[in-house]
Amino acid sequence: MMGFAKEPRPLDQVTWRNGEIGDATDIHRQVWSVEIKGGQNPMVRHGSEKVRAVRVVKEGRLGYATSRTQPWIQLKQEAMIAASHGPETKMDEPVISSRKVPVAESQWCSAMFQQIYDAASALYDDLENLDHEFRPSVMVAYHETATNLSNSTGGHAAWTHGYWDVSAGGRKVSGTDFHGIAETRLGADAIPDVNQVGQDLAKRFLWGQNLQSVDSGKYPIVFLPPVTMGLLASVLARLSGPALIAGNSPWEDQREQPVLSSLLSILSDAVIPDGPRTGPFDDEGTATGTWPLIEQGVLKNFVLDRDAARRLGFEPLGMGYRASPNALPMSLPANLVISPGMAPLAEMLTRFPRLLILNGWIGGRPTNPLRGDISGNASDLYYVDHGFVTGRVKNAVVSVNVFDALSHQLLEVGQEVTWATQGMMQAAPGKFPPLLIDQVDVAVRH
Amino acid sequence: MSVRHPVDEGILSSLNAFAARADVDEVEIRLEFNETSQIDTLNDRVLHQTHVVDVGGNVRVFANGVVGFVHFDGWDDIGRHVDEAILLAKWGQGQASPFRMADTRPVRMIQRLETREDPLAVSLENKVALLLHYAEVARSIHPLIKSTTGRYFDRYRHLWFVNNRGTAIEQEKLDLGGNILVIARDRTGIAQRGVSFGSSNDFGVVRGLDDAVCEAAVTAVALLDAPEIVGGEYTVVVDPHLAGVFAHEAFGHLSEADGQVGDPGLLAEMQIGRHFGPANLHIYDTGRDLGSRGYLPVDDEGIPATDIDLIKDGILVGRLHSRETAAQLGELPTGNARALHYRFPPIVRMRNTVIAPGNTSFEDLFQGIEKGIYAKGSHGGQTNGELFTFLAAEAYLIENGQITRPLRNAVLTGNVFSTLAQITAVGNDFTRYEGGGGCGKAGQMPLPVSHHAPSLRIERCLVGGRNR
Repeated sequence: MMGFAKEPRPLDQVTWRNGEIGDATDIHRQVWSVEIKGGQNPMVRHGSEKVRAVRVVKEGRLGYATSRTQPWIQLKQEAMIAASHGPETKMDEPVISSRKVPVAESQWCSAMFQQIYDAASALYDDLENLDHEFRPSVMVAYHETATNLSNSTGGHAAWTHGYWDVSAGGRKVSGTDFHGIAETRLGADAIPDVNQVGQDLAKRFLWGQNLQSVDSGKYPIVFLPPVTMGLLASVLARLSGPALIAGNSPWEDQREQPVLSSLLSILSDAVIPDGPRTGPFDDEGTATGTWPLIEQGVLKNFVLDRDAARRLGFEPLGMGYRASPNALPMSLPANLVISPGMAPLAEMLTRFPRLLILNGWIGGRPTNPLRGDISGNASDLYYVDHGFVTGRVKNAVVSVNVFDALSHQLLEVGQEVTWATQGMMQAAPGKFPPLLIDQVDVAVRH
Repeated sequence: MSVRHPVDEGILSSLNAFAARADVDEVEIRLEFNETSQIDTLNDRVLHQTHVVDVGGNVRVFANGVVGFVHFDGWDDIGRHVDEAILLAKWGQGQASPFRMADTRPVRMIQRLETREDPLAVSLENKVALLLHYAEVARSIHPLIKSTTGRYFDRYRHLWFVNNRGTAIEQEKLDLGGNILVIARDRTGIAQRGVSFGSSNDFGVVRGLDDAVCEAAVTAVALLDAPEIVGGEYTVVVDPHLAGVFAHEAFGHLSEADGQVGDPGLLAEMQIGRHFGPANLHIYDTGRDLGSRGYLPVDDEGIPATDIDLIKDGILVGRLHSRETAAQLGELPTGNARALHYRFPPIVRMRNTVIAPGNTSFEDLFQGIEKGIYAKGSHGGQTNGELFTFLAAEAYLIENGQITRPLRNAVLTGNVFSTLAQITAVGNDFTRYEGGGGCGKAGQMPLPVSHHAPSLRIERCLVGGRNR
């Protein structure tokens, strides 16, 4: 949900003298949510954060000051002082187009709380009916961020972006077997269809009712979005500013070279309607768009904020985002998207007589991101026999090298894309199709 | 660095007045002043430095089985925020039998910060100089050291908390930590090893790390040529650092009662008195270890810290509670309700999770192992309650009871219930490890925690890795 207004709110208290470089950003982030969890009191929540941040470049050094309460003039003074002993920077400021930009009015109205509560209650009731020992967990939320930015080039932009978020799942514990399921859906203009979420969860719950034994070995595995994000952490590490500046990325001289499978196209997409990071500008005021990072396996663009781009001799593309409202913008993609392929998931499941589906991976992150070795305890792994899911596989460790998996081991990219929300350990929200990867190592303990 | 707010005894009285007038089952009001500094360095230069001041608070209300929670920036209009939280709680539709909070005795206290070396008194220049010095130490070790990154943070918190049960607390807290990460690179690969540090009262932990940084650099170079572990089952010896992560991931999270309430299957498995591990296994959680990052003399619901035995003599004897979960299970609050920041409500979290020392010498832990893994240090871990994974920073092959050669990508996994039973030796090398990371749960990360432990020997541990 994107808001528009005729005039952006002025940040008229922050003025820039000739020769000064810097920007001032006013961020107002709000969330309204209802959370219902088995065995706990439901929680109705409204959070509001108002962050002011000023960046200043003085004699090639960056000063940064941020506060939730201080006056703008004081913040700018603090940033100037910080710049006198701050880190060296090549950061510059973008010229912001004078065109009217999407802006600034909140889309929230109190009636939306009732919609949120009704949706959360309905989904909770659906999940409660799955099994009398199933412990459901549902959260429905509306997130909205209003950003108002001005900079030393005289540019001024303001925009509001909101999205809906349904996160649901639960767990049934039988003896020492934990059968957990979870799904996330995001929506741009309305609450995602909670009936569909409930049906998808019910299907997965049924898949897992039966336990299936497999032997250790190499298997074709369909990686679903929650685990795909784990794979992309290593790809991002090689593409991102810090590794490139440090000279640690093996891809530093691989632009326009094939680095992954030609089946794979990975984008930084700031235009996709329901994306948490969708917006006309990044957090540095650079105009955004949809940029290929990897196009049919060929490295096209790095993930660089303005400082990293200038240091490395590239034009900034709008990939400077804050990890949290009062953090400095850094080299991060907008919404990370893998372009879908042609095959529906149901067809992919018939590609081999027997294969596995991986949807949950405990600890599935690399010990060394740049190298890309990942192993994780499969918490949501299913066995597929001639296209039919026959049960859940337990006590299995799935191991890949990301760069092998996404190059010669990648067999097919699926059609259905779904969001993997940005978790605590992830750099960006992602929207991915299923990936069929062959010859994946699975170690099983019987 | 900005001037800290002076202590104002009047704040608690004002908050008490707001709490007293609220006609609900429970109301809590929290105000915070947070001052955080962070420095990131790369080799011989500063990459980022930030100094952030957060001022804000939250209100949590329980009314007829619904929780209303509001968080806000600034300290204006507290009455309006209380009213909003009440409105949200009363607006929601509660359950037929709402869960109450456990009754507790009111606590009235003011806790001042006591430091050994106060990080707020150390200049930014000195902090930067230390990080850059460690980068130089690492660089000098070997030409294959490609880069060294340094990260340092300190966070001072001043909190005021009241509830409508008469509790009124003013607290100062400190958390500091960071790491030095050394990256080696050659034509064939990249390897990294780090040194991590943390404390709740002493900047001194950042000093004197030269030897540790040298060792990290040497190890990073050695890991360049290390082959990847072949996945499978092994007998594993884990060092105290990794054993602490194991206690945290493999058992601590399972002991958090907010994961148990409303789950009849799990409550049946977590019956107090159940046999869980060997007779000499003793795991407890404490908030009273002064100086550790898990030090928490009073939690974020105003409950004073107690030591909670979780496993004693191999038997399950306790679990970690908030007031809400304690009431539901008819047990006592344990002082484990924690919130990362005023943006979050308190949830059940660990503090310092400890495995008490055993009596096996380090050498004896390896006896009789024909082929196994010795795992050191940690890149973190994760659990879903039943299954856990932890990522070792270093791994070595054990052959015929001897450590023989380094391996890479050591990811140890298992089932909590069976793995605890497969601990066959507890070392006598108890170590108080304090790192610069933190624990993540329900979006609240990184929460400062500690884990102190000895080395452990675990049989039949499933280790990830590609089979070549």
